[in-house]
Amino acid sequence: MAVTGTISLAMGLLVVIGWHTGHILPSSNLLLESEPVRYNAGLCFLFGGIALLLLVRGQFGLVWLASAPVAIVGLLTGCEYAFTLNLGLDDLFFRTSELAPSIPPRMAPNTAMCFTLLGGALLLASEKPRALGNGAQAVVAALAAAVGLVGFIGYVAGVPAAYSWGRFTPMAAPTAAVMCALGLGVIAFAWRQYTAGSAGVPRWLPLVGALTLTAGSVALWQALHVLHPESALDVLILVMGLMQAALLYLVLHLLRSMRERAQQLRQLNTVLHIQMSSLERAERELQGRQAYTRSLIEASLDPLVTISPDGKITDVNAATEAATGCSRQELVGTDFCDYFTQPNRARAGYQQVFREGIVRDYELEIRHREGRLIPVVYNAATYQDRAGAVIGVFAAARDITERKKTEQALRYSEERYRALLVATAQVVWTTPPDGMVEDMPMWREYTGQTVEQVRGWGWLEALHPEDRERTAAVWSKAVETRSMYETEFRIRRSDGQYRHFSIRGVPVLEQNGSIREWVGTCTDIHERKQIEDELRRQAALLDLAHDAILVRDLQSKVVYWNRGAEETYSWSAKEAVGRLVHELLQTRFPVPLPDIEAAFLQNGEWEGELQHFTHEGRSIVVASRWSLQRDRNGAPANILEINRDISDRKQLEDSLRQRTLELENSVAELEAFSYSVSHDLRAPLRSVDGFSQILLEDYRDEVDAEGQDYLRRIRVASQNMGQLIDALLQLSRVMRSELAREPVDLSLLALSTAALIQKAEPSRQVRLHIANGLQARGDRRLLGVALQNLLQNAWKFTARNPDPNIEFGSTQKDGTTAYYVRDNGIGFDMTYVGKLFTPFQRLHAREQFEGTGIGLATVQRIIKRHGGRVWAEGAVGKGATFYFSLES
Amino acid sequence: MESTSILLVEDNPDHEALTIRALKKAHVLNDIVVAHDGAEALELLFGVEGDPGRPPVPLPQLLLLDLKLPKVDGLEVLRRVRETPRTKLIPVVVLTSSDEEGDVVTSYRLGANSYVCKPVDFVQFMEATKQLGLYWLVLNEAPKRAKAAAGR
Repeated sequence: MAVTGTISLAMGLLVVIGWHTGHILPSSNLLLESEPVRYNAGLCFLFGGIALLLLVRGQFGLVWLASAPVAIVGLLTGCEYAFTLNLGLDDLFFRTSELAPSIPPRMAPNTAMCFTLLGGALLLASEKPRALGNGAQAVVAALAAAVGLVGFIGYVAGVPAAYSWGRFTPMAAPTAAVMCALGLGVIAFAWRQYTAGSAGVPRWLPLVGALTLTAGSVALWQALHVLHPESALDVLILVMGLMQAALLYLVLHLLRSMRERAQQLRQLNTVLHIQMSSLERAERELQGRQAYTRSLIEASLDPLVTISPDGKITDVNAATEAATGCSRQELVGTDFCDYFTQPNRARAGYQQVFREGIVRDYELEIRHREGRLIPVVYNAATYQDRAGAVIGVFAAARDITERKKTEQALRYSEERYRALLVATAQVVWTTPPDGMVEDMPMWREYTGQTVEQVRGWGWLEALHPEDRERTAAVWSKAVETRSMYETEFRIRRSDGQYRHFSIRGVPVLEQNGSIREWVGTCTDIHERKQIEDELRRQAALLDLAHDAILVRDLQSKVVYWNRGAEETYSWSAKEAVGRLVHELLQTRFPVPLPDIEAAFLQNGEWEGELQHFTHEGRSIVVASRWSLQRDRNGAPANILEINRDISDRKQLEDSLRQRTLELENSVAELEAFSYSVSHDLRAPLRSVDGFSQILLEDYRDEVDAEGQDYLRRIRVASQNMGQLIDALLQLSRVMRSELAREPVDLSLLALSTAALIQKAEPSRQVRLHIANGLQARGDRRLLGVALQNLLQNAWKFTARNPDPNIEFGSTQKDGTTAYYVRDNGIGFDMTYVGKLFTPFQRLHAREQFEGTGIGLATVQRIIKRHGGRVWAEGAVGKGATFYFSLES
Repeated sequence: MESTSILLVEDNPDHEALTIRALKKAHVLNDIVVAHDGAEALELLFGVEGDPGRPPVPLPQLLLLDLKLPKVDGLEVLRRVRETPRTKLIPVVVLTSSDEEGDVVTSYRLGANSYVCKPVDFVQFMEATKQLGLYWLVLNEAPKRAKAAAGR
């Protein structure tokens, strides 16, 4: 193709240059004598050669630029011939008609036709191999080549008819040769194009071949016929014609078989194409799937790794890189076991996989490059090739750091709770949801029961018999109602002692609300129970007290309130506990509270009277005692307050004080009265006595004996009156004078008193027996008055006894010392002993024994003021004994 | 002014008569001036302020003083007498029917020279009065200063 293209190009250049240099003929008649090649033809060859070369080089885009002029020149020249026009085409570029005159002076019509055909064929060339396009190209080019061939053979054989159509300008000999070559080049190109697009021999090839061969053989036959008419060559030509026909047949046959083959090939091609495309699709899918799988693997948070049978890592994912801190490049090819805290265990693990095919939940610990440890659990399985040979292990690890943490937290939590339970409870137990005990190890340990004994309801046997029935009921109810189980009972310890326990149990629920199990504790409360009992007993005792007993904390908040307090204040314990006591009772203090508290905290106790208000608003006065209670460390803990309602006593005291005041007033009045008595009552007596005496003295002569006797009676009466007043004054003085206790020698006092009495009546002889050394404590003056009265009485009532005897002594009566004055006088009737000590009561006529009737009353008063007692014994005519004691 | 009079302060006329008789029987010849209540006694002893017609009487040689008196009682009179320098040294004998211990003690504390309880028995009374006069007017020697004071 390149050769024919180049030939055409060179021919064109030669002709154009020949025309310009004037050497047309030599250039046109290089081999054979012929017409010169026209300038236009030369240009067409030039462009045709360029077009072919461009095609060969694959520069399809410029082909039309080179081939179009060829076709246009050929077509226009053909038109000139067909319509007998003269467009002057040959002289357009160069005045050829002058140099090579011909008729008409233009390119030969067969040459023009050939250029038209070739130009078209070249135009048909396209970059894409197309059966039709290439076919048409080849056929058209073959026509041109055949015409060229016929012309060239005509020149060789000397048959002008072959290269000259009628009278028109004949085709030049070089033109015919180059035309043939150019046509063959185009055919070759079409062939190449066709074969490049689809394999196989083109369908149009036989046509092209036949066309060319027929044209050639016809031209050859014609030439031979002209040269050697009727020669053997005719036969040869004929044979050749037959051979050609046979060849044509063969070609056609070949063509058909080729077509079939092509058809088959096409079908095969289609099948192959389909297969190819499905294979491509499958491959794409495979690739896609692989990418997907890979992305999945890479996206996995779990470290994934494949291991070869010799334990080397063959592939890893990103999570493995993250877990180990090593890159894929670093990991692949290294020993799998090197990345764990326990390499041997890791090795054992993958060996187990190779041995057993699969391993689950195999725990290992990855050591990160930075030293961090990551607990993981591995699932691993072998993978095999198509033949079933194990080629490696695929191992997936799961980071269980969080799980481990959770497990650890859970374990800690459990341990903590267990420790708590064990610390607070002696027995921790669990039962299934139905409450039927299976085993309670701690219970068994405590009670000494066996598993068989404890099972079901057997544990009840370890309870105190009195508690069993009730406990069974409570437990059954708790299980039935799925509510908290809370009770107390006595458990028989393994040593046989029953001890009080507090039992609590709760159902542990599943997430769906069903009971998973029961968990409970038994806590020994034996000591507490005993203390409680003791406390209850003591509290009962406290409640017996009438006093309000309350305990308050340091903030004065009531924490205990006994029944006495409830009664005193009408606030119940429930109402009072938790209240501020001073607020509750509206306490009014005798001195400011801070002073009291300061003193209280210093001394630890306080006593005083407080005013409180009861619930009903009644005001009461209480005697309050506070005592500071300290805790074990001696720090103030709370305050015990005991309040006694002394409102009644207070009222009594008030009224007593009032009475005392009144009494004091009346005593003062009495004193004033006594004073008046002593002074004013005696004054008239003095007058009466005085003037009576004056009458007796100064008017003795004028008053007869009887009158004088009356005057004397007046004087005696007034003197008696004077004595009576004196005695009354003495009594009143005894009643109101202060008592001064001092040691008194009663013997001495009695002796001196008796001496005075004896002195007043010296004529009487009385035997006096006064015991020595009688000592007592008392008021000397008052005791003197008492002894004087007693001795005076004895003196008086023994007046008629010829042998009077008076005795003063002491004796023991009822454990106390009694002093006595005994006489042997007239005595008295014990019937009237009660009247002896009453003022103005007399047991004897004044005429018989003078006296005021106040003496013994005075004695009694004096003895009573000493806290003693006075009494008398006697009988009529047998004397009397007056006893007195000074202290009860 | 020197005087040998006795000032008897006694509200009871009977007792006044009886006392005077007893003194006479005891041969006491001194003048006896009688005041019938405490106020009168004070007027006699100290005069009446603003009344020139009633100057103090000459200081008595002895003051016989009852305690229970109208207007101003005997203890008050005694107190005034002992308070006043001019009358301070006059012998005062309390002559009363009260034998109250309190009266006795108060009288002595206020400066009484003697305390005599008048007996109801007139014979005993006369005997006591006789001895009083004998003792205080004859035997007893009053201080010179008293005489000097009395003499002014």
